[in-house]
Amino acid sequence: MDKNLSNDPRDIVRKYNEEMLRLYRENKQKDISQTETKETTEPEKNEEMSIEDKYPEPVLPSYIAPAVSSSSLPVSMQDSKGWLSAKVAAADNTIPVNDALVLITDSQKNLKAILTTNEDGITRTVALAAPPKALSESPETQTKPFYNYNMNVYKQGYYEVENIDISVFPDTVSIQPVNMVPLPFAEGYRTITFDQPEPEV
Amino acid sequence: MLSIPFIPDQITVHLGRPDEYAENVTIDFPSYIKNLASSEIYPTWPESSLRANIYAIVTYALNRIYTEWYRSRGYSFDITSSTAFDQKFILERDIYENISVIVDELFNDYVRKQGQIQPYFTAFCNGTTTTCDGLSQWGTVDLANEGYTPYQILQYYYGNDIDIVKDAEVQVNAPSYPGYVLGESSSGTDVKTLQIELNRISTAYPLIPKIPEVNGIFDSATAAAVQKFNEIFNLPPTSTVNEATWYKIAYIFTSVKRLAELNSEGITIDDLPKQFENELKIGDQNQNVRSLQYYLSVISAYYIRVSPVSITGYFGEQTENSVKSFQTLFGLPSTGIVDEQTWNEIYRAYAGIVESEPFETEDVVPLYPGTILREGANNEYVKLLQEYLTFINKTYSDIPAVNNTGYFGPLTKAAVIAFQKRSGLAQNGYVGAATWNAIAELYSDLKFGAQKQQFQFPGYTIK
Repeated sequence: MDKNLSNDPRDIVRKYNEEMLRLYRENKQKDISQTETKETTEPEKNEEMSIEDKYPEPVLPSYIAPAVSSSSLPVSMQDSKGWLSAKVAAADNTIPVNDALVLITDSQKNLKAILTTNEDGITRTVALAAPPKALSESPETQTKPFYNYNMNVYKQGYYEVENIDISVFPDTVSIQPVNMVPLPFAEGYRTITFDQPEPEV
Repeated sequence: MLSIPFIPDQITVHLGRPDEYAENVTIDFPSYIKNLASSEIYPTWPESSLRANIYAIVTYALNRIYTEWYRSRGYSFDITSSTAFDQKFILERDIYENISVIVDELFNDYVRKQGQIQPYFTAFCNGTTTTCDGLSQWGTVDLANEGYTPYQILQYYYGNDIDIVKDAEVQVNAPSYPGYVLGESSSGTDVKTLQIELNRISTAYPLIPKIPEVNGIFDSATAAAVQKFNEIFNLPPTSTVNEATWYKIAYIFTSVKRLAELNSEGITIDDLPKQFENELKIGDQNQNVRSLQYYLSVISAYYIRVSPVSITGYFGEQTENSVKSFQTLFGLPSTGIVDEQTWNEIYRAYAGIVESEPFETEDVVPLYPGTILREGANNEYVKLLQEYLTFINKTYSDIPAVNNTGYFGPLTKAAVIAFQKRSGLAQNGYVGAATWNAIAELYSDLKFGAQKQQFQFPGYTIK
């Protein structure tokens, strides 16, 4: 479909919003029809559904922007691809942070990917546009041989992390290590109890 | 000057020119090199060029450490991030995978002039906007394209009379690489070490499956754990253990243990004070200083910009530097004196960490009781000792199991001597602090390593 090859960032954002709304409506629709069925088959049950059950959060797929193609240029000057992933941990790579939200944007603040980390603190690797490879092979070039991307990482209870100007080279995988730091206590002191188990002797 | 060059566990980097007021960060040596390599050169350059540059980068850092260049001049760091003085380091930058793989292989190799011991001062520059009497980074690209090997490239810039020293000693708290790749047909103590270390690491990284039998045989459970480890840490995803994997495991194991030891230390300090009691400054020596140092140790494990400190009870220069680094980070006047406001901020930061990662209070081994346990003793600590030795016997059968009667008889003494022999301690049959700590550490590794987390693959298939 021709639409998918559009490289206007506003189109990408618009398509993304449309897709999100569509999924949300779809989910709500499904739920309403389920509730209706319940009422006709089990009229006696007077169960109170919690708000969370009534209006569940839509299950969204992780978003990956379609690859941008500059097909009007000669091959040697077309963008190529590089890759980026995040490795999120606390305490100097000792404690992986599960389920952290990772947003990748390009230098124009366009959203390129939304990812989450697994139990090992790793996201999957996404393909991003990178300059033509020829640029990095000689020092006599005015243009930088890499593109810059930004990454924001969120996890409840930790400082937000923002990494600016992450370089992505053609045909190269970049791994962004992210050190998450727990937030200090917001209000005053609180008693922290170390539960001492009964000594086993 | 130090005697033999070695690869350090960690390196402290000053984020500015030497006399400039800036923070110091302490990170593990391989990560430092990966950062440097990703900051100094392009990952798209030919392989020989990358390798030559990485040899130069590693050697330069080792030279600064070996000659104690900054330390001997009174600075509290090993190297700076300023290109005018040293090499470019950009805190928390992205790392290129292909460079990461090469660094994991070469971080313990360095260049020296024939006839000399110290790592050579491998100066380098980009070769375009700056030239120097050393390696030209862009120059290596041309040489590599002409077919030069990494060694030839280094010779081109540093002279023909150089050696590349391979596999220098790595100062992590773990045994050295045996010198050959471990795989399906391997067995022995090296495999056992691997299994213990991987099980310990998998307490932090639950997707690494547990190895149910720590028996020194490289079985399929071991292979599965190795494969997963390699995947997670961006090494070639094989199920064999070469030098790069061996040391990566060692470094991660050291970090995990460092944190665990800190956690267990906290349990044993009674009455951790939350309230500010009195101002603390350099020269003080008391229990409050100990608590302060404990808090700062935990904080520095999580906050890269807070420098680490030993828990001694004495407020010396190291403690003062750590307090200052904390104060700078949190926007307090960096006086090095712990007044009420500083104490409160420290406690809040510490409490925030504890809340996020609750310490495990189960299975913490008690500290050395303070009196030497010897033949004839009859108490609860002897009982614990016997329990630990019996547990250790399940993995190391040369240490006999003993009944936990609480009485230190000839059988217990024999077990202690067997343990001391295995650990390289004096074989006297007494259990003083050193022996107790060694037994406790091994017991903890084996016990902790064996425990699975919820949903963690148990290491065997359930039919």
